Amino acid sequence: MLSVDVAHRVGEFHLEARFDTGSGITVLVGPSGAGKSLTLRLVAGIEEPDRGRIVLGGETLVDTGQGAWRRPQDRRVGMVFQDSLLLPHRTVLENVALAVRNRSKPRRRDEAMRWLEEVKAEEWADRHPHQLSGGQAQRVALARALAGEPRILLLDEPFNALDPPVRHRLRLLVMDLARRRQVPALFVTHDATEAFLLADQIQVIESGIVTQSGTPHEIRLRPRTAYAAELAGSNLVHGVARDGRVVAGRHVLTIADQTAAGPVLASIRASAIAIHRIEPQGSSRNIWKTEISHIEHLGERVRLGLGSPLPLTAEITEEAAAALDLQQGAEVWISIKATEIGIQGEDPEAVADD
Amino acid sequence: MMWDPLRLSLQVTACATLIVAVTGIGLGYLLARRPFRGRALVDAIASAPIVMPPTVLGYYLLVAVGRNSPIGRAWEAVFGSPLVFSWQGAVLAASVASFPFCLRSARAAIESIDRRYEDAGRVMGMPGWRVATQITLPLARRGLLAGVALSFARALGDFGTTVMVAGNIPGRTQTMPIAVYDAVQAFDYDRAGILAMVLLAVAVTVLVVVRRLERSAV
Repeated sequence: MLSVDVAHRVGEFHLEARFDTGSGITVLVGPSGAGKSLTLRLVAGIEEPDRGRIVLGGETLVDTGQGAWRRPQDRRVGMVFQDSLLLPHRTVLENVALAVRNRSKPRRRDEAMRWLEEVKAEEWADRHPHQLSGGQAQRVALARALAGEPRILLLDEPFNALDPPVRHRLRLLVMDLARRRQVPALFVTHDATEAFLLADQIQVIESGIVTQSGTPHEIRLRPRTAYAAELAGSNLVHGVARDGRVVAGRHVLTIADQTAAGPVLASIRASAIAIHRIEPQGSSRNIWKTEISHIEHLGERVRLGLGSPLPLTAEITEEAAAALDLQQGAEVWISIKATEIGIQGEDPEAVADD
Repeated sequence: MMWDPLRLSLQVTACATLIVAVTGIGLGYLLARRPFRGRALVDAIASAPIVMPPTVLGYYLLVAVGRNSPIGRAWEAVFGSPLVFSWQGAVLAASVASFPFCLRSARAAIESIDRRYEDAGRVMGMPGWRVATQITLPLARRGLLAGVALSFARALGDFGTTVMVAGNIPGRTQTMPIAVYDAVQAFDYDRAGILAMVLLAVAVTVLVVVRRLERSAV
């Protein structure tokens, strides 16, 4: 659908983004300053890349090699920004009507009303943007982005500033719209929950480079970078595999895969690490004693930092944490089943180019 | 006779303000949003009337559009009478003298607009001129109005430039500030006082309006 291969420099920052998206929702996820918004602006045509090409549905939007350039107003993309950017001097309906393409003036208002109904914002049609809450304004911004019948929807962290319940409702609305209206979407976020909830495909971008592409399932199972692992609620351990074992520094992990050999990345989901007060008896092959280096309460879940011999992050429920009476500095036993450890070859080329 | 200067001043100032509003906002938009070569030079020349003594500005205008200059001859050929020492000449003088006030306000107002509104407009499919007329200028409207109001006040109060280009012909080019001077010269302090009061009232009103516009623009 969308194919991006661009290089762009802004001051000291280098973006070298290369990825393709399919139908459905592609989430571009990365830490702040990774180049996510810039990538979106390049696709929209707000910025012109130094080098490279962007193709949307077979049409070249920009190709610096050929000198091809489509102006933003001719690209037929719909964009939702972090703030709604609704024009303050126009009503909600007029704001949406401005985005309707190829219609006579009276038809534009009808069309705009239809899109407001689509996002359940028709009640506010005659209001001015300053009379809307943040969530309502983003709903209208979504209607406006869709009103141009875009070939792709670009969403730049659209729900960041909203309260969690509102944010969640809008996420569901985006999913529903993308599926029902068959509009592919490129959704930028740095929020792991949002990324895994929305994505059909995930592109992980760090420091201007796409470090991993895959389905949410693939990223969760086999994150390739420390950031992707954190995103997936997982731990990434570099080691060398041989005969069903991975040697990671001074520690040895037992794995289920007997055939893995050479440098590997082992991923251990934070929730797959069991915590015990006394030495556990059972089938787990990886059992060792460690210390809790810090405790983070995240509402229903508790995140534990585990110390030597192998620093890991574990996540357990609040109930379990209470039952175990965990304190910072407490000694605990941990167990990890061999089958819970994901193994993939460590190939720096693949990491950089994927 | 008493109200001739007022009528003439309003006529000249209205025309000058209209001209300045259109050209000042237009050039202000170009300077703020469409970088071009020689931008700094255009900005410097357009702003010069602020720092130039009004009579010096008037002198150069007189030279530029006098009866022997190409512009002056062309004007005379088309309209049948000279541009200098006519009310149209006064309009020219007031326009040039007040132009930079509108230009600078307009430019600052447009530069302060969050560009992402315009980006959003373009991505929505609006061509450049529609982005300018439907997004940029409406968002900047308070700053633009403040600039126009300042220019109006400057045009209404112009003395030095107007007197050089249009002279002091009662009923034809004698605007209010010139009439005040004329009345004082003739020791007619009553007349001067009334005219001065009217000018002062207009000036204070404009100041209040501009302050309001600028404060609510933030």
